[in-house]
Amino acid sequence: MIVAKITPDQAEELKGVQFVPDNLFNPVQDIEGNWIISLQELIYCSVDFANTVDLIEYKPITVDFL
Amino acid sequence: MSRKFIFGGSFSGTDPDAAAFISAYSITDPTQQSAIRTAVTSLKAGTLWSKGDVILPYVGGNATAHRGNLKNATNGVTWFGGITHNSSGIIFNGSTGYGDVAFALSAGNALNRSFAHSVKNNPAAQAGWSGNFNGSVVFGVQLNESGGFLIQGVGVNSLVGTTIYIPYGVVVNSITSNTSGKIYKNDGTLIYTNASVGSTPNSGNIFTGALSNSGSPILYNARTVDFEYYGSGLTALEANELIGIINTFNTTLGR
Repeated sequence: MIVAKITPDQAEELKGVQFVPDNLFNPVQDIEGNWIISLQELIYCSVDFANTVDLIEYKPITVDFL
Repeated sequence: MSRKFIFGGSFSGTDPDAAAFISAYSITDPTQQSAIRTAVTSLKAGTLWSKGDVILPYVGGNATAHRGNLKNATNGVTWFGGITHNSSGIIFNGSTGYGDVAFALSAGNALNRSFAHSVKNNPAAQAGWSGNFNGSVVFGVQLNESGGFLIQGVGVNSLVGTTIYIPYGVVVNSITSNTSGKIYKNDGTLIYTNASVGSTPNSGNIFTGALSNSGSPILYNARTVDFEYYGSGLTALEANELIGIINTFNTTLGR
C-alpha cells in the first residue's frame, strides 16, 4: 500500500482538520517512525502541499499481543 | 350537525425515530427510506431496540450520513483518516481510517454488552481489529483473509488467538454474564464461548476500522462494513433476530 510521507510539522498541521464534511485527517506513524497520510487524504491537500511529500510503501506498526 | 375530527397521530404512519434519522441525514432515496423504516420497526418488535445504544445503518453514501445513529440522530461516529463512503457502506483503508463510535465501555457494562458488525469484504492477507483494548482486556474481533475469511483473534473480555473460518456477513459479540461471552456468525451459529469472562472492565469508546488501545487507534483494518450495532448483551435468540434484520436491510439495499 502506497501512502504519503509527510513531515512532523505537516502532521501536526493536518491532525484533526476536516478534509471532507465529518471526516478528519489522521496522520499516523509507520514502523520506521515516518509520519504518513493515506492517498485518500492526500487528494484533499493543496497542490503545493502534495508537491512536498514522498510516496512510500506503508509499513504498519505491528503489535504482537496474540 | 357538523363533525369535528381530531387527529392525534402521524399522517405518514412513519416511525418517529426512523423519520428523525431520515430527516437528520437527508435520506431522500425511497428504497433507503423504506429500508430504514422496516429496520427500526423490526428492531422495536422485540428487545433489540431497547438494548441498542448505537445502531449504525451506514446508508446515504457519505461521511455525514454514515455518522448516523438510529438511536440518537445527533451522536453516532466521528470519522478519521482515509475512508471510502459509498452505497456499499464503509470501506476502511487499513492504514489511517477509523471511526470513534459513541459507545463507551465501562465497569457498568463490563458484563452486559454487545456489538455486531456486517462485513462484506476484507482484502487478501489483510488483518486488523475493531474494538477496544486496554493492555490486557479486549472487546473486539480480529478478522483476516488468509486461505479464506477467518476470525484470527477474539475478545469477549479475554484475548484469544484462534482460527475460525466463517462466511462474510454479520459477526455478533455478546457478553451477558461473567460466564458467558459469546460470538455468533452470520447463520446464527455460536462459534466461540468464553466461560470465564471475568469482571475487569475496559473503558472508553469502541473504534471501528481499528482497535482502540486506551484511546489510540492501532491495528487498522481494510474491511467493507455495512451495518453495526452496539448495546447491551444479547441472548442467542436476540443475536439471531439481529442478524436477520441486518441481512434483510442490506438485501433491500442491494448490498
